[in-house]
Amino acid sequence: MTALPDSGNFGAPSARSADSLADILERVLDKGIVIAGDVVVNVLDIELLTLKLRLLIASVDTAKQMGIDWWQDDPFLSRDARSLERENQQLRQRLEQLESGSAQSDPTASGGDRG
Amino acid sequence: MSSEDTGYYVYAVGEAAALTDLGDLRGIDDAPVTREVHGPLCGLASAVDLAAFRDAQQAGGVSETSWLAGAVRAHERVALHALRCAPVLPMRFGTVYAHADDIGAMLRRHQASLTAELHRLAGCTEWCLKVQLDDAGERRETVAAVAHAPASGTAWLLSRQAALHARNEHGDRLSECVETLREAVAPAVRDIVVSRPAGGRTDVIRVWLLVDDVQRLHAAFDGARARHSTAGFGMELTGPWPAYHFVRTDALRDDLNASRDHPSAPRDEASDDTSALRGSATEVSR
Repeated sequence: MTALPDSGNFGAPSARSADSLADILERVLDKGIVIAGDVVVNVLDIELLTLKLRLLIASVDTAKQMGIDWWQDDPFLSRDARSLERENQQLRQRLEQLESGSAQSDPTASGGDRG
Repeated sequence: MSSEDTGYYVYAVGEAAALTDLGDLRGIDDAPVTREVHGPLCGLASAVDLAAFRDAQQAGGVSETSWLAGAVRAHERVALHALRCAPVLPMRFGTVYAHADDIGAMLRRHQASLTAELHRLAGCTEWCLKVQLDDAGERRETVAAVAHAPASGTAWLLSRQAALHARNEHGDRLSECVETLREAVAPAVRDIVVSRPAGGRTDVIRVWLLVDDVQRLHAAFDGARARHSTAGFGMELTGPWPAYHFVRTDALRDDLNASRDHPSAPRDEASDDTSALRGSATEVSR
């Protein structure tokens, strides 16, 4: 054993990033011993989890720099977008209720031609 | 948490005689880490709530403070603690067994392969050489200019073309720098894996090194920097880490196939290639 994890004294000064989540994910994700068989969280589950973690890597400090922000509008990935989608759904329901109520209370709308 | 909802997460495997001092080591969800011993081997494990894994799959977003991020940090923390005590084989993130006894059964079934892998990696640690462009800010400005400048369709296309050219140029410069460094440190390490992050990012490349002589690595790296211009690049060498990129799992699968006639699992991208000749790089897209 050599030493505790530490930065070497190399290269241009740069922020120590070894503890950032992005660095940990680069090190840990999809690496290490795999033993199939008796594990209860199956490989497919883990693929889904690691896929999400990869999205985190891509989104934290890179994608915005590149002008990539599609996830902000993706209801699956963005809390704000989910909130907007929920609000949208609530408004639609409210509108349907109002239209339904209006139709029931409006004899000309619901009654049609009564002759 | 009922027994049906509880699983046993394995962080790393090592020699039982060497992994004795866990202190108050905590794993996922702050659960105490215990030793699951079978024969000469020991798995470091903790109880986990399986519902948390299910919820993580259901959850829409991922953030730095999410449960999933905390679980990865815990995985790293336990494996690192183990490495400070003895050589260990880090397990793949998310290795969960239904019962603690299953871990002992796994150690028994794969004892020969795990022991051989521990011996193969004995005395070695993983180091990470992270190389990035110092002028990434310049690229951001270029991209920002593209976003704000276009006054016409032609101007927009031209600015896009300029930005793309600049991006490719930056990527080429970084690749050349990494190749120079790789050649310089290759004689001082046992194996190398070059990793390019996903997401189209071109301003950072990580070179993973399997190292058995850290001083030699440092000397080789110092020498490379003295001989070659690395102006414009930021570099960071960190370690030692568990040998995440260099553990081989093909032998374990052979054990499994032999004992259970189990169909072969997909080959591991890093371990497939890390048996390459010393010093030859393996490209891994993440």
